[in-house]
Amino acid sequence: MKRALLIFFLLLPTLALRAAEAPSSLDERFAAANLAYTDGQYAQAIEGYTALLAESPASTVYYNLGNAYTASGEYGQAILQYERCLVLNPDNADARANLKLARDAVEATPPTRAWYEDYAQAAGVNTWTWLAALTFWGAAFLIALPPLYGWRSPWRTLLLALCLLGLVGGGTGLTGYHFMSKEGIVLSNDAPLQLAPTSTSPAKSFLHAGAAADIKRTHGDYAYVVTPDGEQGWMSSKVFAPIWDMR
Amino acid sequence: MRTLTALFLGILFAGTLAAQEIRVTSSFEPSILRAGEMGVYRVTVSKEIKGGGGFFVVRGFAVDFSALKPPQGLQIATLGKSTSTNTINTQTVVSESYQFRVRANAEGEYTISECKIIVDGASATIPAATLKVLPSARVASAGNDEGGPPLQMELVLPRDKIYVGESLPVQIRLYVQRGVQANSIGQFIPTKIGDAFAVSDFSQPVRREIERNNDIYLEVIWQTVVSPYKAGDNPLVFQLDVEAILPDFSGQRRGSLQKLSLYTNQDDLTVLDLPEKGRPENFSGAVGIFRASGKPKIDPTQAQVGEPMTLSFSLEGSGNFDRFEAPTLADDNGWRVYTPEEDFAPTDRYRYQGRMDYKYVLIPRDESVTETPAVSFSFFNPDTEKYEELTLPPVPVKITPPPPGQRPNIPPTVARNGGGTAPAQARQPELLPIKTTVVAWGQSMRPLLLSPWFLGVQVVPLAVLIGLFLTRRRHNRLLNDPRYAREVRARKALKPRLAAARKAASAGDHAAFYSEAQRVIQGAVGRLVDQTSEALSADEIDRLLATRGVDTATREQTQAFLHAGDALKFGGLQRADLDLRAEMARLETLGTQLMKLS
Repeated sequence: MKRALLIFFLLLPTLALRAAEAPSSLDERFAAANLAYTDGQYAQAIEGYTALLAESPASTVYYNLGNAYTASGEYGQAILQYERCLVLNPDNADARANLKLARDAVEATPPTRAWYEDYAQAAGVNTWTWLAALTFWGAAFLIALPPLYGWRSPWRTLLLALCLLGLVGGGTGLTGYHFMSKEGIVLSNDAPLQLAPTSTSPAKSFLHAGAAADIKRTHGDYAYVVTPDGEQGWMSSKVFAPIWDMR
Repeated sequence: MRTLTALFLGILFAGTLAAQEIRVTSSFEPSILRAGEMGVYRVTVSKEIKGGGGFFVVRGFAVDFSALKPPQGLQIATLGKSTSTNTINTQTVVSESYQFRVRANAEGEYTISECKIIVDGASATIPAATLKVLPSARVASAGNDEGGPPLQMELVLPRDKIYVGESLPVQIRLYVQRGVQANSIGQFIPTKIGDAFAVSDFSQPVRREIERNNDIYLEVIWQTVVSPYKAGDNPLVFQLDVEAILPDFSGQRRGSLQKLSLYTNQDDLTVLDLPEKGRPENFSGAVGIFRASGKPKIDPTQAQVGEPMTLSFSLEGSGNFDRFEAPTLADDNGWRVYTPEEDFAPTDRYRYQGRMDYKYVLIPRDESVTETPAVSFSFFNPDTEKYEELTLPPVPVKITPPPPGQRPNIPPTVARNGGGTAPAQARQPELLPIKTTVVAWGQSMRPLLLSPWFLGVQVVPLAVLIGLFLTRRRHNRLLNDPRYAREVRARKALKPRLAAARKAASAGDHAAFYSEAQRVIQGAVGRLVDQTSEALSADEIDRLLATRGVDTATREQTQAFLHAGDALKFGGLQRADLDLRAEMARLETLGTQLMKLS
């Protein structure tokens, strides 16, 4: 017992020192990653941001991670992180601007989006969800109850129209996000589009970093994707990642 | 007032007269004939009247054709005249067309030379017009039996050498021999066969009559622009479907309408690659003839470091405007150059000729720059078969330093793959800076819609809605449906009465038991009629049960319960004869049966 206590007291200063060295809170670790970025230590910054995202995702961290990848020349990863930032915060104008710069740098074409997908980006997916849910219940109450309570006020019609409008708006936004949730980004240049979901499969063609494609299905570490040009094939998770990180 | 009106009319009339302009045209229709055939020589005199001329009554022109002298061998006779008036807004054009019948018996070219005529007292000039006369059909057929095909289509190229990616204006010509009745010419346009060339829009067809193979043909010309996709020998054939009635040997239109497909009989075209020799580094695929349209302009000419400026210039000429990239800026050190905006204004429908405007947004990086980058543009001239370079000079600018503390943050250029970076393409994008604070941690991309708690929460409004709906509906029914209300009331009252009867039975209180039993029966039966249940007599109850087809045993049992109380008091029924527990069980059974009645 005495021996154990002796060892404990000998190790205590070391542990305390390490505890003092290692930033503990998320904010402190975020600041440390930012410092690495400012010092040009992009690999270290990427490592720090990635660890933070694994623990507690935040749109700001995705944005900074995008900057770090851009600075280190990994434009595919940068575009992916900016897109993820915009999923969490569609109003982030800085992320949108940097995303365009990253795309311009590799001459990547932004994904072709339908009108309802553009519309969906006017707000976050959860905003659309709340809008759709609230207006749905509002419409249900306004349809079911007024005949029983004898409420014939014109306000009922107006409120019902507003609820239905909100329901259509929210539903359209959710539909847009549903289709956008299938998008992914090519992470590296000359990424092979393979015939089968295996490493030994031959490549049909090669895609550039930053190119967008829609995921149709997955098989293990492979995703079956369709490019805007209509090319289809399997891509490994090493060279392709979905924008939506469903954790 | 009268003076003002006179002055106004005077000005109007003077203005009208001053604006009158006489135009005279002349033509032979057709412009080519066979000897002995008749044609028309037409002289059209038109006068444009501006400024209210439309209000005047057109009375025609007084034209003196005495100076018109037909050439030797051309017979000419007056046919008549026709007048037309067109008014658009305040401009009126009055046209008078004089027609003369013409005929020549010998082949040759007959020119009615330019001559002066008098139109409404003013002198005007009839331009010269030429009529070509071929040998008569009889002579022609005797001299040349072969003749050309009645319908033929040709592709006409401006030159032999064609280069990949260039835009080449071509003509497709259709020849229709006189005597062929072709109905659908002009309704359809030729279609391209083969995939080695891109073809632009076609022009409207132009028609004229020409001599060809010693015969008269209608020539229809379409213009378009073709662009070869690849080098090598490639076919370029156009097809046109027409419906025609072909003449027989005698030259008469006979036979039925035939659907014919015509093709341009062109051998494979040899498309050349653009020469490697002498190709400038900044060549981006422009093939044609281009020149600068004016000098480059910068706006503003003075700015601070970091402020955007716009450099604009234009290129004009003819060539493949849609297929080359914007010119490069020769030396952009000291500047950040953004991808330019391009605006092409074509002057033809094929986008072959026109002017391309470029607008580059430039941002000075520091105050040391004194002029904009020079613009360098290279293109291949297919006529000279050489590359040429256009250089637009730099424009002087004045750049001032930014206010203290506002110098833009320009990130250092990072060398990749151990090598240096090319000046323009590999430069790092100037990103907006990183954020130093996180507003919210723990944001998840997983939509709320898929969250179990969110879906669970939806049960609350559903339950509230169902609860309110059912409660209010029951409330309304109780108000509006008396029978339902009686039913509910009876069911509500049944339980406490049975409980009271049970209590009385347990206590051995015969009077109380039968009293409660009577109320139970009255309540159960009374709900069937719109009457106070307590006021129902035994006879009324029995009648009600009889009308509802209740069996005799139940009715007797009901009557027994109803009369038992009185029998105890007055009828000699002994309490010792009654087992209240058994009576209670019977009462419960009876109550249940009676509550089932409807």
